[in-house]
Amino acid sequence: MKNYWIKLFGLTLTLSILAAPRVYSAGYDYIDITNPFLKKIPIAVPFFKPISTDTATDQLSKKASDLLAETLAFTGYFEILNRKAFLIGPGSDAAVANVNFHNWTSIGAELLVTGAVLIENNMIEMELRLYDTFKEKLLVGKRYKGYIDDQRKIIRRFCDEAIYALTGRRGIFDTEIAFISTSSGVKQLYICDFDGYNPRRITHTNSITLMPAWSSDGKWIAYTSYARGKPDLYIKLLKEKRGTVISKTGLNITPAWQPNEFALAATLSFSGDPEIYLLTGAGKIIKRLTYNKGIDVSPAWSPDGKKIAFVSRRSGTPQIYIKDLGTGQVNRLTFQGNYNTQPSWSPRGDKLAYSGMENGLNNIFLIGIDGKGPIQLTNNEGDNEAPSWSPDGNLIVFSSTREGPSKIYVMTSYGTDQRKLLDMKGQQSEPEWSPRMTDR
Amino acid sequence: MALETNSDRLMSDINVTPFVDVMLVLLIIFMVTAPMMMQGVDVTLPQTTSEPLIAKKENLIITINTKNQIFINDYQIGLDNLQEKLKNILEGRENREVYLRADQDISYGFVVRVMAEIKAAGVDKLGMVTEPIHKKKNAKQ
Repeated sequence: MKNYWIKLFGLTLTLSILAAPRVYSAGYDYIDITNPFLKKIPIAVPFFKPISTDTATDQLSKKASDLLAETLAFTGYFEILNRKAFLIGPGSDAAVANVNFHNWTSIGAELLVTGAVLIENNMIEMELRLYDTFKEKLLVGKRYKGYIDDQRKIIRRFCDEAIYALTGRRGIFDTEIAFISTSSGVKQLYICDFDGYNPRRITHTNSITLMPAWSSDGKWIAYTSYARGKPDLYIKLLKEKRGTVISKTGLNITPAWQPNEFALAATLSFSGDPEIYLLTGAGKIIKRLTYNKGIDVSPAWSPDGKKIAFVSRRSGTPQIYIKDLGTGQVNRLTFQGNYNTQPSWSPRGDKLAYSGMENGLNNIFLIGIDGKGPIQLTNNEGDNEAPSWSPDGNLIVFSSTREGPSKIYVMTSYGTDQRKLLDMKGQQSEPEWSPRMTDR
Repeated sequence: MALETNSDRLMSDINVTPFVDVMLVLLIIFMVTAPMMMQGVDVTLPQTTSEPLIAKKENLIITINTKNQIFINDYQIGLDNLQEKLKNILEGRENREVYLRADQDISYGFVVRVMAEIKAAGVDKLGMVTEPIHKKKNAKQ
């Protein structure tokens, strides 16, 4: 046993020596996002120091530091340390100049974010820094200037830099979530920020709206609406409120945009049988993708755009299948359970999330594209449906009836940190996470 | 199952359950000597021969100086707030170990009062920091 440990230790040491230069130069040896047993990193976010001495700056610096802590905590990577444990006096600038790192390491903080806020002529200046307290090293240091209303934007941009420094991947802080809500009495399309902030209504009709889908540049959204009395497909350019309607006989439902193309897959039933077609963004049919008697619905693209997953009843029960668009080959993916629907392909391409029904209740499952798993992520808490991945592959948004009415929840892709995304009147369902919006 | 069928067999293992209980209740106190480069609040430590303190970055050190002022690292705190502060700190820490550096001229009564607060905060290991005995004294002995 002892030998084994020595060997193991030796091996780890060798590996870390080999890996060190590469990982270190890339600068993201902090959070390994592929590790399911991720330990949350304790991070200290003391109140930002107000530079200008008025009550407005004072309040804003407190609010901004709270917002920064919440924004970072949303990722599920961090444990925000209690400010009451901090070894700094109130109003002390110990957290800004000459950081005493020992006072942070000895309360358990491995990372530290400090900030200073200055308000002048209705403009806000924020200096934010992320430190590694053990290495006593500055990881990210940025100074931002903007209008006071931009503070949320500033904080999100800094969080994006921080996450990039820690994980080597861009975060989700500029993404949005589209969803369906009955707040107005009828199911309508809404969009909110990634953290549930600022929900806004997109469609203004008195008829049911369903199944939103984002184009991969985040500019277009497709959905089904009964505005003309039957399920038609609406393709809409969000900024300019123009677009197309696909109004063929029968169903026009479940749109899914092809990655990096102005084209989408959707289910149309004009032939009498719901089948999946590939359409241009202007609504013209490019080709038919599925050929089977019986329902084929809910296409989901692989991130490389070479395959689609979809739901079909061809074996008698709704199951998820994968079609390789190059070879035309179709393989059944799910074999467990009698009702598996709503596939959503992970951004890394290795897994699919879907909802599967067992004993009359839906739950979210993950399955490898090789069929490995499935792993159940939600359990014993009402109906959990419509999973959709965050573009960094770290989080999954879904709807759940765990508190009675259907609401939108977020969890990590390992099923941990399940929490409600937003409080709104009525019921919310069918969340769809947008791609990153940087280039929009 | 095996015990029922073979009841006359001797149980050779030490039952550690009561031992664990004792460990949980007691505050473990041990002594360490501070290395020369120990920084922070200036105090004169009593001299003993004991294990040297391993300098770790996450060490939490409570100091009492000659004016009966209490410090956590270099952060000054009153005796009344010490317990709550330590509780909050221990929430974020993995171990519950604290080092105490009291000036050698502080009254025994005050040190014990501070120790009681430390224990009540949930600290289970307390290291008493001392200074190594100077060589001259060693020579006399």
